[in-house]
Amino acid sequence: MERGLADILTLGFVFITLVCSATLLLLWVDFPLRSARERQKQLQCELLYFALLNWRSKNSNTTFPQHVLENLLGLREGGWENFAEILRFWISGEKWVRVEVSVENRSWVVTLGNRVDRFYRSQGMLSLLPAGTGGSMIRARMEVNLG
Amino acid sequence: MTDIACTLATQFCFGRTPAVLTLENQPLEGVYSFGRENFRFQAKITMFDGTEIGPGIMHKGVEVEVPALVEEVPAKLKVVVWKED
Repeated sequence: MERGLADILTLGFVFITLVCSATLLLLWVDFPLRSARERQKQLQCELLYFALLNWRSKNSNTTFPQHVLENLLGLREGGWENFAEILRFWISGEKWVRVEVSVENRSWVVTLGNRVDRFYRSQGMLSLLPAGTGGSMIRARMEVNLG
Repeated sequence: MTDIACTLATQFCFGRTPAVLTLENQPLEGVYSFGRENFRFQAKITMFDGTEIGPGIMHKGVEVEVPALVEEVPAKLKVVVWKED
């Protein structure tokens, strides 16, 4: 009887060890894959930020953040009407994107998709020279969130 | 392999100006050696108007797609990587 109980306990211990080691092995195998997936998203977020920073419309010499800033300061009306369409083209397949350009207490925000808990952020302070301000530099902030 | 695809996408996109693709002297197909291992890659650029630059048929492999610009035009760069037999 005692011997039977010892066998059952040994088998139970072996079973628990097997389950635990298999779980740890699966976690270990998935870890580099998960970090690679996250690196991809981080790169996409970083490149979206730089693409927006350097993007200028064909017939204009102003960059995207400069154009938004001029709109915020009331120096220019409209432009970049197809921005949401282009943003959707750039981030197709991603769950959530938010682009914000802000200066002092004014901000311009475009959001696509539903907010997610895990996301990447690229942001920077820009020194811009909007037309019609008499050559004075204005500090603006641009932020891109991608989830 | 996603790491290799990300590295290649970074090489393509971080040229003279970040996120602006410079297509001169840029091979859109080739072999990337990492240690003793060789990986084959293909890159395709899709412009906002639908124009595509790169190989006609893309090989199956690990894909990474990133936003970019070709001059002033919004574009997407897709890099596919697979292991050479």
